[in-house]
Amino acid sequence: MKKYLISACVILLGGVMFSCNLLDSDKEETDPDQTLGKPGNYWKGTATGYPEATATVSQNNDGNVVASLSYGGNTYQVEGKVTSEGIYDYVYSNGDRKKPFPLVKFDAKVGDKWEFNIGNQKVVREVVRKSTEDDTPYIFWMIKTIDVEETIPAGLQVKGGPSQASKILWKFNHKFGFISATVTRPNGQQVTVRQTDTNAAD
Amino acid sequence: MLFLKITIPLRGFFSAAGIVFLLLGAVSCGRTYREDEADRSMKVLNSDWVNFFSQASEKPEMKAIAFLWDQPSAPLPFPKEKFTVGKVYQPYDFEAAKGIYVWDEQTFVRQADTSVVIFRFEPDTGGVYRSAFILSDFSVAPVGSRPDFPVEMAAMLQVNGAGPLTINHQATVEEHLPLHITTELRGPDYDLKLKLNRTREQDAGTLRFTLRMDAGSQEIFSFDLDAAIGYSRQGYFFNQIYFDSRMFRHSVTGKIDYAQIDPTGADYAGSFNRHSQISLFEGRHKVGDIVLAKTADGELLDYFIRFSSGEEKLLSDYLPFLKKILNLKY
Repeated sequence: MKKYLISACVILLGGVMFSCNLLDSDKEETDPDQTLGKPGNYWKGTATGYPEATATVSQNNDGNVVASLSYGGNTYQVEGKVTSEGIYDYVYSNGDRKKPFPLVKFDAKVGDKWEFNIGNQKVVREVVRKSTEDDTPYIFWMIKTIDVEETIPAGLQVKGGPSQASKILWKFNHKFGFISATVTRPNGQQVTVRQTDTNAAD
Repeated sequence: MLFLKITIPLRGFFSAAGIVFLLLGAVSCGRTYREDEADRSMKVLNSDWVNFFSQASEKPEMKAIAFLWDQPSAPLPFPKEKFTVGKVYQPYDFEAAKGIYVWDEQTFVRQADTSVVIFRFEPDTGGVYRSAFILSDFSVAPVGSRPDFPVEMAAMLQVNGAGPLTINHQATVEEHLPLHITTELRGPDYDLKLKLNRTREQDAGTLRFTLRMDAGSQEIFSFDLDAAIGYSRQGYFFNQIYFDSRMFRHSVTGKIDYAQIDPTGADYAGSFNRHSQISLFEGRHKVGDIVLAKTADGELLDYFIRFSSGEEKLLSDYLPFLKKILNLKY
């Protein structure tokens, strides 16, 4: 369970975000000061019955972000990429920075898909919903989200072990970044990890 | 005259060399099978594997291992650490498991203390146990994922007094990843050896893996892999892979330039096929090339064998066991 939650947090809280005024730019901006991958930015998250986890950006080199994830008394390092276009991770490339996999692109439309192939297995991330108005509760506000459903084939190896999720429904906001992730396990059981605090929009 | 003295030996040399080369060519050059020949060859390969699996599973020591694996009351490392949804991971405690356990027809019952783990089973009518499994050494080191990685293991299995099966395993772990592994499983009439060596020079390195099974002087199968790898915070990833595998009378050679393959591209299969060359041979004759392509429904990708005619057939239609291996569920 711990590994499972950490895996979720690794992607979730490593998924730092950027401000909406950058979306107008055609060029993928990677300057840390212009994106929410700025060192020092943090996100806190929790799931019912589990301790709080905090991810803090410690490095940003040309959009490649390293975050320290504190969970259960341990600290882990996670990597991702943040640009003005979207958030990417290296989970399925096992850290190969030449192969970023989009977690979200803020200008994506419902039905847009990103695929990561490993041999004859395929991880699919698809935009399944995009708010047109503020409709998702977030602390004391209602916000817009872009929802990405990730489908993971059974038996896929992640970090040397079998994936402990079959689906993940991600919710992102252009200003606050990661909002929540509902992880479905192979037996159908679901766990939702929610973001509880961030300084990214400050 | 001088010219003749020089040219005659040279001409003789080239003539002799030409004959040798022609003979070598005639002996060593294989050809590519026609589709009907390749089809037969694939059926032969499947038949070889089916016979192998069937005979292996009938061996008394394999049945005994399967029996022990399925017993929740047997404190063995791997089944106890197997990932189960909703179950908190518990590492195997070799010290706590030490003892003599006997089978009482339903469960293993701990009978006595000892410095190793012993299971006695298959009792005969006189109350004597004809089979035993002894785990005499077991230790692990933490790696980047669960369970911890075994770095030392010594075990022996004797079934009905027949020649023992011994398992010896040694490994080293560095930076939370296996660095060296040497495993040998020696049965009454076969021997399975596995080796892995990994190197690292800054953010690049190599990985060499070999697996070989022999029965007496006969090689049953072998698999050799050499890879150039890169390192990341998550572990390592493959850049280039070269492999060579022999199985019964067939062999597969392959090279995959993984660094050039785009896993997120719209034409992933095309990218995979352009940057890889995987060929199947029967003896010296080429059966076909293994490629990645869309299945009949056009949705999923799978491995196909491409014959000399250009026809592509689903590999798992010929070798159904591949589906189980490639889609292993944990």
